[in-house]
Amino acid sequence: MNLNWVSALLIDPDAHSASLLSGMLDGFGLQKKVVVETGEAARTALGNELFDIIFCDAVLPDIPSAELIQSIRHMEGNPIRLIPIVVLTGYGRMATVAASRDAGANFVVKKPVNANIFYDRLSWVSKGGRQFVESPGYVGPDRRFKNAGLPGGVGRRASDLNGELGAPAEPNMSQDEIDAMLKPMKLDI
Amino acid sequence: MTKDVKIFIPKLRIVDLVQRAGGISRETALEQAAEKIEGLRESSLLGISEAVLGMERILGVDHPIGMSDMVWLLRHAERIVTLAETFGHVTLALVGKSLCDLTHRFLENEDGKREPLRVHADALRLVMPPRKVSQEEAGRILGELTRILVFCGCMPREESRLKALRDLELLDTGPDARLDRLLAKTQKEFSVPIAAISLVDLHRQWFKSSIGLDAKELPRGVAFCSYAIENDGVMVVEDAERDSRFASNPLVTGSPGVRFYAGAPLKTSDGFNIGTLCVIDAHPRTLDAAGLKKLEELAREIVKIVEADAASRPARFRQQALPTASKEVLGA
Repeated sequence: MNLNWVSALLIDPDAHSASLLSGMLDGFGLQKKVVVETGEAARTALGNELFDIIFCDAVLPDIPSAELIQSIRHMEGNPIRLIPIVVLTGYGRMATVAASRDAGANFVVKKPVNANIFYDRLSWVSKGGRQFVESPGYVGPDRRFKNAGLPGGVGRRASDLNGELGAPAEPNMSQDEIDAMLKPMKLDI
Repeated sequence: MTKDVKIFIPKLRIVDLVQRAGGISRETALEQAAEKIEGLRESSLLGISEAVLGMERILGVDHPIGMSDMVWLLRHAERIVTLAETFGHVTLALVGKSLCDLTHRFLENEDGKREPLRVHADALRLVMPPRKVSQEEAGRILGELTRILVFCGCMPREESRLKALRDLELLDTGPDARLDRLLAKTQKEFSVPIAAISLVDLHRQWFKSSIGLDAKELPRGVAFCSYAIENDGVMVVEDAERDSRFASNPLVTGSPGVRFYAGAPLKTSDGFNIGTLCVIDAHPRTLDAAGLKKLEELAREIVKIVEADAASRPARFRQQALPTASKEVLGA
C-alpha cells in the first residue's frame, strides 16, 4: 500500500494522542497531514484543502463529533461528503460509538490504536468498493444489514456476540464489540 | 426502495493513490510505525505527568468538583490510559481506567465526589514512571481502587460476585487432588501446554490448580479470565496478537507468550462467574463446537465439586464480601 500521496486530516484535541496517531501514520508512509484540535478548525481546513481521509476523535471540545461528521456527509454536490471518516475513541467514551456510526463514520477504533489492526483497516478502506447511501435519514457508508440471527439460532463459536444492539450497559467496550456494531454483516436489500 | 434513496459505489481518490508505485510492505509499515512511536516515549511521559499535575491541582483545591472539572479529568484520564497502554505501563493504564470509570459514573450522576477522585490521583502518582511498582504493591493499589469503584456503584454486580467467591472459601487454599485430576484431564483433552483453574478475586486471579504456569497468581488487570467471566459462554481468543483487547497484554508480548486462550466460566448455582477453567497455547488455534461443549462440561464438574465441599462445611459466620472502605477515603 502506498500512502505517500494520501492527504489526511487529523482532528484530536489532545496533542499527545494526536502525536501518537500522527507518528503511526508517518510510519505507514502517510506524511501529508493537517492536525487540528477543534471541529471549527476542521471545517476551515476542509474548506482550504483537499483531503483523502479524516481521522476524528470521538469527543471534540467545541461541537459533537457526530455533528461534524454529519455536516460533512451533507455537503451536497461536494465530493468531500464521500470521504472515508475514521473515528477514534478513548477509554470511557465508547457510548459515542453509536452516535458516530449513525452520523456516517466508516469505522470506529479504540485508543490506543493497535498498529496491526489499524493498518488492516486502512488497507480495507483504501480498497474502496463499499457502497454509499444517500437518503433523507442517513448519508454515509452503507451499513444496512438484516440481522437474520445466528444460523439455526445457535452460535458456532463461543465468541459469537449477541445479535441485539442495545444501549451500552458498560462505560466501555472492546474493539471487537465496536467492530460487531459497525461491520456490515449480511446485506439484504 | 424509495426514489429519495441513492446507493452507489463512490469513486474515492484514495483508492487510486494507494495503488501508485513506491508503496511499502505491511511489515515495513509496521516496523516504521513502531519506531516512530518509540521516539515519542519521552514526550508521552511528560504528557502523563502534566495530566497528573493538573488533576492534583483541581482536586487539591477545596471547592466543589464541577461538571467541567470532571470533563477535564475524564479527558486527561483517557490520555493517561492511551499513553500508558501504548508504552506498556500496565498498572498506570489500569489506574487510569479506574479513574475513567469513576469520572464517567460521576458525570452520569452529575455529582462528583472529591475524595475517591483524589485517591485516584494519588494512585496515579504512585505508579507513574519512572517509579517501579512491585506486583504486590500494584495489586494492593488496584484492589483499593476497585473497592472504591464498587462503593461508588461503578460495579454493581462485582460485590455480590466476590461474596459468592469468598463464601466458597477456596482462595489461598492448598491443592485438591480431585481438581488437579480434572485439570490434568482437561490439559490432555485439549493438548495444550497451559491449563488452569483460575479464580478471579478483587485485584488478582488466583490459581486453584495450574499446569504450565509458574505464578500462583497474576494481577487482575492482565488476566484474560477477568474478561472471560464477564459473559456466560466460553471466551475463545484464537490469536491474541490479533485481538485488540489483548495484543499489548504483557502475557502476550512477554512470557508465556499467550496466543490462544479458551476459558469457560465457573458459574455458581447462584449465577456468579467466580473464575474460569482455561486452556492456553503459545500458537494461534481454533476450538470447534465439540471442544467448547467439553470445556463447559469440565467447568461444570469443577463447580459441582467446590459447591458440594462448601455445602458440607459447617455453617458459620461467612466473611464479609468486602472490608468496609475507610470513611476517610470515601468522604462518607
